[in-house]
Amino acid sequence: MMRVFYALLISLFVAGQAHAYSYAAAGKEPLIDAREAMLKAALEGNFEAAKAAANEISEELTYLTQDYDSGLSEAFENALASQDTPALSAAINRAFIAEITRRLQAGAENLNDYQTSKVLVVKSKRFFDSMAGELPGEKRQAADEALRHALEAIGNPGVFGVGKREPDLAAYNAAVEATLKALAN
Amino acid sequence: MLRLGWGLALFCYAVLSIWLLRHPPSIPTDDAFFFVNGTIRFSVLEFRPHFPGYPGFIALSKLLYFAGLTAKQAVFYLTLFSALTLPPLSAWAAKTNGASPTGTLLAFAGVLTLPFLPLVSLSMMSDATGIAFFLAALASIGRGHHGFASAFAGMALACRPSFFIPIGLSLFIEWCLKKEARFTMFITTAATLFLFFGAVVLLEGESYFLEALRFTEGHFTVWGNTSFEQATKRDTWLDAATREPLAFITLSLLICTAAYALFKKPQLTPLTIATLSALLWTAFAQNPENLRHVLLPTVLLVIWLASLRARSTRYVLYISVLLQLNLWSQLELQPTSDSPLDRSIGYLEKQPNSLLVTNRGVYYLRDRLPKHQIKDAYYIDGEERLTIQTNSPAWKLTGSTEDIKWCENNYSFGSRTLGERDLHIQSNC
Repeated sequence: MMRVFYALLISLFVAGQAHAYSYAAAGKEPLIDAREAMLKAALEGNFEAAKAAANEISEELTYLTQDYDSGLSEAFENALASQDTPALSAAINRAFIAEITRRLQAGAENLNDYQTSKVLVVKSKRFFDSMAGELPGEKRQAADEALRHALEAIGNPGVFGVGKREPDLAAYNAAVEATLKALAN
Repeated sequence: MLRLGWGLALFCYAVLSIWLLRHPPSIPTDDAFFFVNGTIRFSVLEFRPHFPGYPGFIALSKLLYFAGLTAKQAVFYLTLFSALTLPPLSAWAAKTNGASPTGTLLAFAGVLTLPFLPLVSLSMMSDATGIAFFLAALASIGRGHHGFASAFAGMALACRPSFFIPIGLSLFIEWCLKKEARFTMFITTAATLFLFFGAVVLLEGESYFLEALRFTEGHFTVWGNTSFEQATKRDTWLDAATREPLAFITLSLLICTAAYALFKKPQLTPLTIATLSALLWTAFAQNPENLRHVLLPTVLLVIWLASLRARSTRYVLYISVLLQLNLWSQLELQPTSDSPLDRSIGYLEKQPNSLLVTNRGVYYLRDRLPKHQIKDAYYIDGEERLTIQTNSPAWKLTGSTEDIKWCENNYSFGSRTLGERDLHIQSNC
């Protein structure tokens, strides 16, 4: 116990340097975690580590390749084989767009369940926020606005019925289409 | 003599209030931006504001918003006026916890001159509001009004949930000491917390609990910059002390005096436990990059020392007030301005729309600079290695001059208060 205390005490005074933080950065989302690990490893020239990070999300990639983007796994394999960092970054963005598509489409199927559809749209926004740095300003703004419209379209049950808004499937689908259009190349 | 002291203290209070109120509402960080967004529409999952939602603070800022202020003004003035209530509330808390008339004055002056009070006043964060309610709770405990004390403590937690260790422990000590007040304390605290956090759970559903797990883990392992984080690169309290040496000298003086007083005459009161736990909690579980975290333990230290009725502690408080007053010359003579972040945005708006790599205010910059491509420097260590290879103009916004310089072009935006970060913009030549 005392050792832990001393370790903590020492850690208070170990020299270090500040870095930024983003609240979307913490785990529980394998794709977001893998993105950071892969890009970090690739930028350091360590493609073995990048491959290991890609293997961590192999299940997700297989699923997304089957249902949403047929060339996705191949894009990852090629980028890792040729040790091409920009190509790897582009493949990660493709995976994120496929994941956003998957969640937003699931949102349409769950439009009558406010909490579920809200989580699906909000989590899509987290994936978007993670890749937003890769997008030019106009595309980022367009996708951001479209996601806001999607969130409005899922309605709101209100608190004990106060402030209740019904979901609007047509508006939701239009917002999803606008989001995917903004994210597409 | 006492009257003269109060006259001088109130004059200083007026000077500080006027200087602070002359500042325009201006967003200094992403966290403040999240509070402004949360005032317009509350949603923890969307970081409006981030977990745990700060429902008490948002409820108060919403009241100001509905009264006709803009969301930015509401958050700014709520924070500022909360901070301005701290000196009188400290005097009240000291008095009800046994301070002499001189001790009461010293608590007022000691808190008024605290180096990071202006930082918290302009931060647009919930610290000051949380501390204000906590002091009201401690004062009510001193007066024996346990119902009010528990309600204020509940409000403090609803405004600033990260104070739960000092607030919880001080309530627990009072709960142990005053058997007759146990029922009142439990019911009132629980009811206040249930009212605020129950509303949040009602709005957010079960995803609130999943976000709680994710966010708490992230705070201690990714972005919180706490002692529990394993990353090698992080600011420490030693770095913080070298950034603001005089402020930390006075803090050390207060800590040493408190340690001596505790050793000489050990006592178990809610105020003592609150002070000690706030010190330890801040040291281990708070981010040394944000010096506003230092305010709670220093406020409590001043009040506790002022309430001790010992001559030696009184002299130490006199000295610390005089030392701290010296720092005012750096503040009050400066012209008031927007936050460094807002000023850097003003500069970048006039530059060609291009790439910006930043480790400060990513979300706010993306909102305010719609034409720029903005990369979060956190996500990729060495992102600039990719960026620097591009031929298009690119900018880097950083809080430290020690970061690798791209070239000599360097525009700096100075801090408004002690403890606020200067921001620097560099271009890729």
